Amino acid sequence: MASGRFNLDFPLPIVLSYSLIRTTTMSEDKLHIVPFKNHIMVLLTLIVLTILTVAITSIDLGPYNTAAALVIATIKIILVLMYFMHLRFDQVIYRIMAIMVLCIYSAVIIVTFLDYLNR
Amino acid sequence: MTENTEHKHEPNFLEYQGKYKGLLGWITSTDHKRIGLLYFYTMMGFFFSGVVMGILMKLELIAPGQQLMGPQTYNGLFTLHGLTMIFLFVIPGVASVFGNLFMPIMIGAKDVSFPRINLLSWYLYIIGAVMVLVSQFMGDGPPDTGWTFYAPYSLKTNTNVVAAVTGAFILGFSSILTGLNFIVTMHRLRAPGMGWFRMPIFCWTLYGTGWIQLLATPIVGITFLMVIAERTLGIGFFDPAIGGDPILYQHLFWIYSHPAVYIMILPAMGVITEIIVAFSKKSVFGYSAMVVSSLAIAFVGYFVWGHHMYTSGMSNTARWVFSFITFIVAIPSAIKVFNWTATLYKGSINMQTPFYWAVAFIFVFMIGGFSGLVLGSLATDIHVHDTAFVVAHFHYIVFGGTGFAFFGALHYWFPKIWGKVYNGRVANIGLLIMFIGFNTLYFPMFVLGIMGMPRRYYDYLPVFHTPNMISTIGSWIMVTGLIIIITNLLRAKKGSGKDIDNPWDGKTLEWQISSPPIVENFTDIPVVDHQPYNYN
Amino acid sequence: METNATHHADLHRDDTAAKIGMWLFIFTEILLFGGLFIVYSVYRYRNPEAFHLAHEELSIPIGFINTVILLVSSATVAIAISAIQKNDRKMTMILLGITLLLAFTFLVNKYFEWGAKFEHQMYPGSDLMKNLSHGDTLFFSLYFFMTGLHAVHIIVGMILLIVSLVRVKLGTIRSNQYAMLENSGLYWHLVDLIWIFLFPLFYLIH
Repeated sequence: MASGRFNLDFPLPIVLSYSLIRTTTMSEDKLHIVPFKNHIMVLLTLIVLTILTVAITSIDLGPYNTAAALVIATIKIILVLMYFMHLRFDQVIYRIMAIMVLCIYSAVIIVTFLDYLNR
Repeated sequence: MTENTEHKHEPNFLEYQGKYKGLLGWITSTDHKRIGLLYFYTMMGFFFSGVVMGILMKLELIAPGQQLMGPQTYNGLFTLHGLTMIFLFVIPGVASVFGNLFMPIMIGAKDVSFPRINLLSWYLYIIGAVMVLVSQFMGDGPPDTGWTFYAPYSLKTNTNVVAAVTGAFILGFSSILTGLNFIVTMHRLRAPGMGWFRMPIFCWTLYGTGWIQLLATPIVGITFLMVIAERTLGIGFFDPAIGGDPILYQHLFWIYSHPAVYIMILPAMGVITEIIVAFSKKSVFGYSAMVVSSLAIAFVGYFVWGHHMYTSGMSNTARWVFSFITFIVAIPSAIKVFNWTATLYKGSINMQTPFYWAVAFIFVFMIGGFSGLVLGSLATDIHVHDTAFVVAHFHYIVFGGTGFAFFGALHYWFPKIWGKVYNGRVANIGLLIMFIGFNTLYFPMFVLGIMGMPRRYYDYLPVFHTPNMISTIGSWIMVTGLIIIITNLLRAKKGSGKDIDNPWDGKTLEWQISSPPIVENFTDIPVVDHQPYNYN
Repeated sequence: METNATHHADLHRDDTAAKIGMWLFIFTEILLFGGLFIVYSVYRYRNPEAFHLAHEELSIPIGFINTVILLVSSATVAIAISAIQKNDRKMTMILLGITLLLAFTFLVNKYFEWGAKFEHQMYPGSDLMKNLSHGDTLFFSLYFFMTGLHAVHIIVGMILLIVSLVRVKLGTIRSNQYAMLENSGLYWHLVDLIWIFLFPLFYLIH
């Protein structure tokens, strides 16, 4: 750094930057094979949840029907993402990206509804 | 760390002859530098066709009444002008040309992560561009909807919306793939020692831009698909006659098109940072702040789109929320301006052409930015929405911003790309004339807008005559400047030694290699052990 | 290599780059369908009764079966990855075959579903539709467009899986080189993810 400069640089943790590098570069060193059984268990859970969705929406819960269906769908999505798509066992950077994308998308829908809910 | 002696055995990327010779060797090349130049040459062609359209529009507006063309032709012109300049020039712009040419070198890589997808991006660019331009000549003529294609008119007009929108869809794909490529490249191919916080700021801005390209473009992609479906298959989404909501079209369109302006400006800001650093011979003030503000602009920019829609019929709640967030997003941009100024302070200023472009950029960008506050603020926007004020604002920000940064980058990296030296004095004169012409052309539009002149009108009341005439004369002055600038570059002479390898004493990696670079950029991948701008 | 392995990421093969690239592409697809979900949400909010009535035209049993089909196909492709990691090429090919069969069945179901709609004039632009409410037209516009676009993605996914299957047979995908299979699998899971939301939103409206 040049002398005479105001040092207002805020110190971002170097640890953060290097750990992010390491997570994406030391790629497949620990090979993780998911046992067949695990996938079957996840599948059965998903099917049960699907049956649950159909069951819940066939009884009248008013506005909570939609909420219930969406909550269950979200749980199913998370299961597919974490287990079938391996996010649970991959480097953290993948989870960070996925969460960031879903947050941005959710925020966009919410902001759009700021219009429609208030017309 | 110069590699001057070594490269004499290796052809540079311009002269290299691989499996295919000549032009075929270029259009089948997966070399990121050649692809950057492919974008450059074709983009300049599209830019100039857009300039011609602009000149014709200004000619029509030189006086009240019809001069050269009726309203239908005028509507087609401003639509094509917008489509050409936005989708063919400023959105790909700095990233596809200078990002491709230099980002891999700046991080110490030999190419991007997916070189063939990079070439595919350019092919898609050309196909999309041709479709957009050809839409002028097919069917009932060029679309007359404006580049924004608002429903329901875009669903009903007989003009060639489908061809233009399909072209835009394909261009979107090109943009997505470039963003994807750049993101992965920066994650995977940084040289040993080049941690994230040792990357040049230009690379950081390309990283943020890549995410916007990735996440925003699909929304307009699907919107255009819906428009095509509605026009061709009668599937209704936005037609009020079947219950559609035209405002929903606007929401979806601007959910992309506002982040799109950050696609345009972020890489431009990155280039300006590089130029200011090199021409102050001083490291950037507040490196972390520059990184965070780039990412903040990218992130917050997703949530301000409604400021294009204040008068559309949105709810009041939505309007003030968007206005509030719009003011927030101005902050990171301001931080950059402060940091550029602080970088210049006590720097050892090198007064040459790229520096003058950077200074010109800051001047016009600030005017554009301030006028953006007028538009972002609800109460004042009601008065100037859809007037010439808006036209002035975005030309200052986009043309003055991205456009000036583009030409600044061209003059900055010119010796590196072509191994030639241009006449600095003539370049400066060209810039001065263009700058005067630019302000003469666009500043009167602020006045006209406040006076109440609507935009996208081929005619106007006599009271608007004088500023319009001044503006049209400004367009001629500006084009003169442009011609001088381009001609000057075309007449550049072959250079040698430091004049082309590192004329500005730059510290980033591209200045440590020969000019023009060899195909693989480096004979040995560098090991980085210092900050990007290590002046003393 | 030591702390920073990027420089030995051979330009000609970088499996991690390919995986990140596929994830990024998946994000674009999520946003693509995301735009359609925004349209759906807005129009359902504005036409609750019409959407409810319209959805009764759809067959919940077929929708349920199709959902289960895709879930199972996701499981089979996930298990196929484990199989190739163990170098069990035969098992990998069998599982991929089952996945493709399930995918094809899904499309066949869709074909019959759509066919029934066309027969009963339940499509945008038909004479019947012109006499129904706005909400009905919007519902069916969205139904055909979204399930149609989803079907296109199923076909793309099937192509990727077929290519992977061929490469397993040829031996160019094996236990130390299976990025293409892994990434095709990720794409297939995306197709499943989209349907997980499509099913309740179209078939289970109360």
